[in-house]
Amino acid sequence: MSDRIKTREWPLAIFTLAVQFACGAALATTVCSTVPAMRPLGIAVFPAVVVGMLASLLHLGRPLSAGRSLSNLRHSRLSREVFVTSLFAASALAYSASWFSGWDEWRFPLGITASAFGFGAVIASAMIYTVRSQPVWNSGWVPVSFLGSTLLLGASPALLVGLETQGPAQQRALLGMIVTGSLLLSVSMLWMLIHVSRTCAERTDSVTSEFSPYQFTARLGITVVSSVLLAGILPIVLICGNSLVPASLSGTTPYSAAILAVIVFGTALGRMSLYEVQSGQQKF
Amino acid sequence: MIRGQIGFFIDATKCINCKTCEVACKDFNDAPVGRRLRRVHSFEGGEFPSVFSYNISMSCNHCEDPLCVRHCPAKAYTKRESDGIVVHDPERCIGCRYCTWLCPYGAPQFDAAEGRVRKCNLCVEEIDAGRNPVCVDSCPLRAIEIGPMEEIVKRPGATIAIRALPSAEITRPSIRYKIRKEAADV
Repeated sequence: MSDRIKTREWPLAIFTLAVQFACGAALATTVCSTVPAMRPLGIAVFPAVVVGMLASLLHLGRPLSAGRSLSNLRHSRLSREVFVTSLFAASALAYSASWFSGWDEWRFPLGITASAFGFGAVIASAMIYTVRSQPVWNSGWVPVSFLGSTLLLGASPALLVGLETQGPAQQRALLGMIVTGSLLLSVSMLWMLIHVSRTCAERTDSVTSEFSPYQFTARLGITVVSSVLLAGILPIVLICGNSLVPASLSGTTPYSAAILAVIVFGTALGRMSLYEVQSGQQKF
Repeated sequence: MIRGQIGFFIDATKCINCKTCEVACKDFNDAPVGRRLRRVHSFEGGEFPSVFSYNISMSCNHCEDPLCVRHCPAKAYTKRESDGIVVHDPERCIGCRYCTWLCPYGAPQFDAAEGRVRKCNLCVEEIDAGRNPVCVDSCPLRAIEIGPMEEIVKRPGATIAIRALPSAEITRPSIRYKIRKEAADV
C-alpha cells in the first residue's frame, strides 16, 4: 500500500490535464473564433498552460534546476516534451492575447498555431509513458486516452459558455469534438482493460504485486460513467434540452455545469488510474 | 556486446540471503534508511512437499542498452566507453524520476530528502583503483563476481532467463546468474 501511495503523481496529473484542457480549448475557441462569448475561454488557454507547467515543477526533486531538462533534446522524450510544451505556452500566450486585446484578424491563424503546438505537446506527453519498461503503459491506449481527454475537456466548456450565440455549424463542430473525445476515451478504457489483464496474466512480478484490482476497477467505473456516459448526455441536454428535460434544468443551467464538473472529475480520476498502474521504483 | 563491458556473475546457488552485500553497499555509499542500491530478493514457490526458494542479489546491471542513459533529460547518466559502467552524476540530476520509470530493475532510486536519484555506480572509484566493488569483496559465500561480459557469458550455467525477472531484451543487462533449475524461466 505504501508503495502505491508513493507512486501517486498529483503534479503530473494536473500538468497533463491542464495542457490537454488548454489544447482542446484552443481548438474549440478557434472553431468559434467569431463568437464573442468565447472570450473568457480563449483568454484562459495561456493561464491553463502556465498552471500545468508550474504544477510539473512540483514533481521535480530540484525545481530550480528545471532548465536542465532541455539538455537532451536529441534522445530524451522528456526533453522533447518540455520543449514542445514551451512552444505551446508561447503560442498560447499570443492566442490568449488576441482574445484579450481584440486582435480579430490574427485570432484564427494564432488559434490554429496554438492548437497545432498543443496537439504536439499532448502527443509528446503521451510518448513519455509508452516505454518498454512499463508494460502496462506501453500501449496505444495512453495516447488515445490523452487525445480523448483533450477533445472532451476543451469542447465541453466551449459548448456551455457559448451556447446561446453559436451558429449551427459551430455547435456541430463542438458536438463532433465531444462525441469524438467520448469515443476515444471509451476505446482507450476498453483497450486498457484488455491490455492490463493480458499483461497481468503474462507477468508475475510487480505488475500484479503493486496493482490493486478492486480500487482500480472502482475508479475506472467512475471514470467511464462520468467522462464517457455523461459526456454523451451533456450535448443531448444542451441541444435538445427543452424537449428532453424540464425547462428549469436545460441549457446553460447549473445542471449542465454540474455535468461538466463531473466530466472533469472523472477525467482526473482516470488520469490518477494511469499513475496507479505503473511499476514503481521497487518494481524488482 | 560492448567491447570491454564489465558485468556481474552471481552464483545464486550459493546465496543464502544473508544480505551482507546490501549492508556493505549501504555502508560504502553512506545510504540512509530506505535507499537500497543493492537488494537481495527471495522467491518462493512450489507445493508441499516439492517446495523451493531462490535468492537474487541485484543492483544496477550497467545494461548494454540503458534506457536511463538515453532518456535522462538532464544528461545525468553516462556510459563509460572503456568498461561500459553506467555512472550517475547526482549533481546534474534534477529529480524528475523518469529513470525510475524506465529501469525495469528499479536500480535508480529517488531520495525525497535529497531531491535526486541515486544508483549503483559499481564502486567506480574502487574499480579505477584496481580493487573490487564492496559487494563483491563482502560476500561471505563468494557468490558475487565481476569481470568482462565476454567471459561471463561463457561461464557454465550462466543465464539471465530467470523466473520473475523482467525480459532481458528491454535493456540487455550486463549480468548473468548461475541458478537452480526451479528458478529458470522456461
